[in-house]
Amino acid sequence: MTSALPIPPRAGFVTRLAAFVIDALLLGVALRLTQWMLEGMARNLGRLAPPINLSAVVLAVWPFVIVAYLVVFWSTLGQTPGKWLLGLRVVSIGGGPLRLSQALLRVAGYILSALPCYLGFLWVLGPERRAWHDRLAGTEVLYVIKPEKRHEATKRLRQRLSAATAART
Amino acid sequence: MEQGGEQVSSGRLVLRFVLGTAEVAGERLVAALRVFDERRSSSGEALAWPAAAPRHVLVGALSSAPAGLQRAMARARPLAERTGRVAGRGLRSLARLPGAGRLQAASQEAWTRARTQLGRWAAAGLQEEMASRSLARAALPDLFELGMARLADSPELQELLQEQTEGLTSAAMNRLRAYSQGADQAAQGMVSRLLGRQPARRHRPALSRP
Repeated sequence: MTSALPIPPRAGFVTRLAAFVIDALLLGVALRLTQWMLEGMARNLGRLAPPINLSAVVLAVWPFVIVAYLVVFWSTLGQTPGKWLLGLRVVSIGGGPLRLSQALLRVAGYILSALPCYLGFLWVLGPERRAWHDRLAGTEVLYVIKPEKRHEATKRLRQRLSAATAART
Repeated sequence: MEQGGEQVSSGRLVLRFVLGTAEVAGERLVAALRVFDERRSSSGEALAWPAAAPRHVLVGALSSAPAGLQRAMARARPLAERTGRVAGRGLRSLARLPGAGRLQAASQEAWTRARTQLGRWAAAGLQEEMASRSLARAALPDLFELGMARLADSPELQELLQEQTEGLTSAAMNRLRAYSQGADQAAQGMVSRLLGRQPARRHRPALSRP
């Protein structure tokens, strides 16, 4: 069944890059906060137990956190916070949400795209607007087209105001 | 409200409130207008003069009416004094007629009664005005707060505010998205020109939405 909404076009390079930067900033802030909290804890614990370099532990665990962040958001909501802000959604090429395997493959594709000086990402500038990781995972990134919201209270107020004006005239 | 052990009637209370509100609000408005007027005159801002129109005659007449009335009263005062003197002489001549003494005493008594009554009314009015002002000063802030609380508690108003806030947020986000989509087109167009490709189509159908 096809809905009445227009088919959204694929997202371009600038929007996807902006969404990526927002996600990177969010993850960077989260990393710094976690390191700061754990370092404080380690300083306090150091008085009781042998000191542990928790900052190094966080750095070691962080790639897994990034993978989990991307995979969970893609496969559940279809968009990370950065993509949500820019109005993008990652969908399977056949339509519908990403499967877990597709999300994992897309993350692996990120590494593949980044290896030759990020050439795989620049593929978004092509006419198909699909990066290497999109092609690998069978996905595409679309602009989200939202139906217009019905502002009922505002409409009611407008109706009342126009009725009052009509009655006065 | 109690006054001398008696409960004030609701009509009188409403009248007091209306009177007090009008007086207090008028005083505050005048105070605010004086501040604005001083600020305006100190700023030295000069406006362009408009062309004279019939309405300016009316505005000029209204604004100079109080001063004109005062001048007319001052001019009429000697005439009134002369008329009063003539009338006094006439009355004194009439007082010589038989039975005029009784009539004069009765009119004097009526006049005294009327003055006493007017004095009583003035005292009551003064008291009423004081009570009105005091009631308005006490009631206005609380009534304003009550009104605001009612508005804040109104689900319809809350819904309206929520819709407007959502509308502002979504408008800002939509603008950001529109800019970024424009930038996408521009970047792609630039790359296409650099590579000597056909420019990208504006809306490529991706898939039919389920």
